[in-house]
Amino acid sequence: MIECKNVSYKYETFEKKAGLKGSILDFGKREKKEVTALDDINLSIVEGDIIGILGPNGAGKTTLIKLLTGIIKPQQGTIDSLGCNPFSKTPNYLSQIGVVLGQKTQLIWDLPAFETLKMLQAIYNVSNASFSVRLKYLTEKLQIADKLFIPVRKLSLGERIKFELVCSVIHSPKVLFLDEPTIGVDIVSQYAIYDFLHELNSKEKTTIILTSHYMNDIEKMANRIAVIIKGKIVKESTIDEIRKEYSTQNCYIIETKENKIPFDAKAYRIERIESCKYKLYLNEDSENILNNVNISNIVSIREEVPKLEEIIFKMFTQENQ
Amino acid sequence: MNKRLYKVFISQSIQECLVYRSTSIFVALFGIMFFSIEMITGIIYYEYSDTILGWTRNDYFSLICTSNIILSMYQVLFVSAHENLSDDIIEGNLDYVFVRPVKSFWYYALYRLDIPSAVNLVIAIIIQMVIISKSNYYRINIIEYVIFIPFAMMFVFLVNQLMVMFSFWKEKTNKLMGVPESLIDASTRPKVIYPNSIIFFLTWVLPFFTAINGPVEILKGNISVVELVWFIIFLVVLSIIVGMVWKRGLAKYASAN
Amino acid sequence: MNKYLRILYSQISSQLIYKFDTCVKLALKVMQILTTVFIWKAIYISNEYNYIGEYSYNNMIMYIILANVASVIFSFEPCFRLGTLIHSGKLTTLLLRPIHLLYESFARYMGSKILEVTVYLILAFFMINAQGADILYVFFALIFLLLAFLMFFMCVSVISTIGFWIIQMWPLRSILTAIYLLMGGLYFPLDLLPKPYYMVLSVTPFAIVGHVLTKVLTCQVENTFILYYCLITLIWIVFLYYIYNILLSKGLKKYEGMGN
Repeated sequence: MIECKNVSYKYETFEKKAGLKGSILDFGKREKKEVTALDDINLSIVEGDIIGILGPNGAGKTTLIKLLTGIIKPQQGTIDSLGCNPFSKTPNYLSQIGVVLGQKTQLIWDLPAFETLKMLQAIYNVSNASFSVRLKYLTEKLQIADKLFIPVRKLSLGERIKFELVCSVIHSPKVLFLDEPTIGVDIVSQYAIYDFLHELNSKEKTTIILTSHYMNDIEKMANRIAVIIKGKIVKESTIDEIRKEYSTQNCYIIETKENKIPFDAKAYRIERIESCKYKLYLNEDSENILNNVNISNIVSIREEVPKLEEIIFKMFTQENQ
Repeated sequence: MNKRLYKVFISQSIQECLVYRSTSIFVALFGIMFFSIEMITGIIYYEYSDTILGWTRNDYFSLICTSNIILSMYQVLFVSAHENLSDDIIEGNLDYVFVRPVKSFWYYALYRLDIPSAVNLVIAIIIQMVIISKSNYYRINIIEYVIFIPFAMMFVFLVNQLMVMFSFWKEKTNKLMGVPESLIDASTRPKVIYPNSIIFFLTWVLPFFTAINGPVEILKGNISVVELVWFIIFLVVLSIIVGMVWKRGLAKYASAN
Repeated sequence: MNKYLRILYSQISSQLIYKFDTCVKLALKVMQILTTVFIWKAIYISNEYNYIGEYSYNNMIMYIILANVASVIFSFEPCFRLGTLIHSGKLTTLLLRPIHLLYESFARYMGSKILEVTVYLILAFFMINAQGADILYVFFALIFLLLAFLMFFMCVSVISTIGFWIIQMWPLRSILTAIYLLMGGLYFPLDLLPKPYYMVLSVTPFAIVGHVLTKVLTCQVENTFILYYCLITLIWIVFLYYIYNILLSKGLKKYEGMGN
C-alpha cells in the first residue's frame, strides 16, 4: 500500500554569525549548511496498519510524514503510496489521504469549526447527505457535537484537536497521517482519541501513520513501530517483538505476603527489590519448576516485561553514544 | 477551485467581516477618506489652472475614480491573500494547502474576500458613472472602458502576486510589496506629467500606465491598438511567470520548513 | 537602560541583514517624491503665472522635496507592530518581561531609524547653515526637530493602541500615509489653503512634522516662529503621552479578557 525505497532527504540552512560584526560579515554572503533529515529509508506499510513512528526531536519524523503526504519530494529513492507518487499531488491521491499536523491548525480561527468542515466538504466534493451523516457520527463519537457552532478560538485545546481529527477524516480517507496528534491534550481526551482511531481502523480499515513523543500514544494505538534516529530507521517491528528482544533474560517478579522467599531458592539467582518483592532470573540451564512452593505466601508471580518507554529510551541513548 | 468552494469562501468572508464589525467599519471608512483625500488634492491642483497639460478637471477626477475602482476591486478579491502570504510562509501555515485536492494557487488567492473594500468600490463606481454621464464620451468607448477594467485589475493582482511571492525566498519583503504599490500610485496621476523616458518605461516595459491611465485614455478615445495588444501579451506572459514562480515557491517552502 | 540598548542594537543588526529592504525603501521614496514634483512642474507649465501663492517654481520644488524627504524618518511602521503582537497573542510574552512597552517600542523605533535620523540631522544642519542662518536659529531648529521627532513617535504610539480594538491594521497604513501626505503638506504647501484652514491645520502633528518643519529648514521663518511651534509640540507630547497611557491601560484590560 505504501512503499518507501531508499528515500533520502537533506535540508539546507544557514548559520547567522553572532552579533553586529556577524551581521556585517553576513551582509555579503551567508554560510550554508546541509542537514540530513532522512537517510536511506526503507519502509512498507500495508492496508489497515497502524504504524507509530518514534524518534527524538529532529530525528526526521515530520520530514517522513511530509514526504508521504507529498508536501516535499524525496531527493533520492522512491515512494509509492496507494499506487501514486505522493509529490505529483494528483487530486485522486490527495482525496484518499487525511492529515493532522498537531503543531499547525487547519481550523478557521474566528469561525465555528462547522465552517471549516463546510469548506472541506466543498474541497473534497462530499455530498450533503453523506456529509451530515458522517459529521454526526464523528462529532458524537468524539463528544464534540455540541461544540460545532462555537468559534474555534473559544474551544479548549482538546476540543480543537478533536475537530482537527474530524477535519482530517470527514472525506473518509484511506490513509490517515497524524503528526503529534495529542500534543498538549489531557488524558481524558487522549483516551477518547485512541478509542476513536481504533474504531476508524477496525470499521473502515483506515491505515494510520502516527508520530508522537508520547509513548502512551504509540503503545495504545500502534500495532507496529518504526524507530527513527538521526534520519535512519534503526528498528521496525511489532511492539511485542521489540519487547521480547529487549527482555534479554527470562525474569519474573514474585510478590509475597511474608518477607521471605516462598520456595527452595538454591538453584536460582534471586534479587530482592523491596520487602515482599523479589526478582527471579532463569538461565538457559536452570529448571523451570520451583520446588517446595509455599503457595499461601505468594501474592503474585508475573513475567517482567520492560516498558516500551524504557526500551525506547535505551535505544535513543545507545544510538546517541 | 470550483463554484461550490468559492461560495463557501464568500459566505465565510462575510461571516468574518461581521465577526469583526468594528474593523470592517474602519476599513470602509478609511477607504472613503482615502478617496476623498485624492479628490481634495485634485481640487487644489486645478485651483491654478483649468487644464494640466491637456488634462481637464473631469479627466483628472475620472482617473482618480478609475484607479479607485481597479484597486478596490483588487482589494475585494485578493488583498487578504497578499496581506497574509508572507506571515503564512514565515509561520509555516501553508502546509495544509499542499494536501488539498484543489489548485493551490487559486485556493490561496481566492480564500478570502475583503468585504469592506466593496463599499469603496461602490462609491467609486457611482461617482465615475456621474462623471461619465456629465461628459460626452462615445458609447463605444464607454463599453471598451468597462471591458478593460477587469484586465487592469488582473494586472494589479498579478504584479502584486509576483511581489508577495518573494516571501518564499526572502523573509522581510514588505518593502518590496511597496514597489508595485508605488508604481500604481505614480500611475494614478496623468501620465503626461512625466518625462518621456518614464512614460515609455511604464507603458512599453512595465505597462502600469496602460493599466491605470489606460481606461481613461480609452474613454477619451486616445489609446492605440498596439498599446492594448502589448498590454494583453504582457498579461498572458505575466500569468505564466506567476504560475511558475508559485510552484517553485511552494517547493522552496516545503523544503525549508 | 541596558536592555533598551540591547533592543536598539538588535534592530540595527537586523536592519543590515535585510539589506535588500533598505535599498528598495530608498528607491520608493525617490519615486514618490518625483511624482509630486512632476505634477507641480506640469501645473507651473500649464499656468501663466510665475508664482503660486508665495512660491516661485524653484521654491515649490525645494519645498516638495524637503517635506517628502522628512517622511523617511517619520514612518508609521511602529503603528502596526502592536496590532500584530496583539492578534498573535505574542504581546503576552512581552508583558511578562520587566520592560516598559513604550520604551521598548521607542528603542526599536530608534534602532530601525538611526541611520536615517543621523543622516537627516547632518543634512538639516548643513542646509540651515548654508542659508546663512545665525547660530541661535540653528540651535532652535535642531531642538524643534528633536521635539517633532518625539512628538511623532508619541503620535504613532497612540495610533498603535487601536490594535487593541481592530484586528486588521493594514487599511490603516494607506490611510495614515494619505492623511500625512495631505495634512502634512507633502502634496502641496498648506499655506496655499485659505487662511482659516491653514491656521487650524498648521498646529496638528502632521503639519508640524511636515509643513512647519520644512518651513523651518528652508529658513523661511523667524526665531519666534520656531519657539512658538516648539511650545505647541511640547504640549502635544504631554497630551499624547497622557492619552497613550489611558488607551494602553484600557486596551490591556480588553486584551487580558481575550486570553489568546
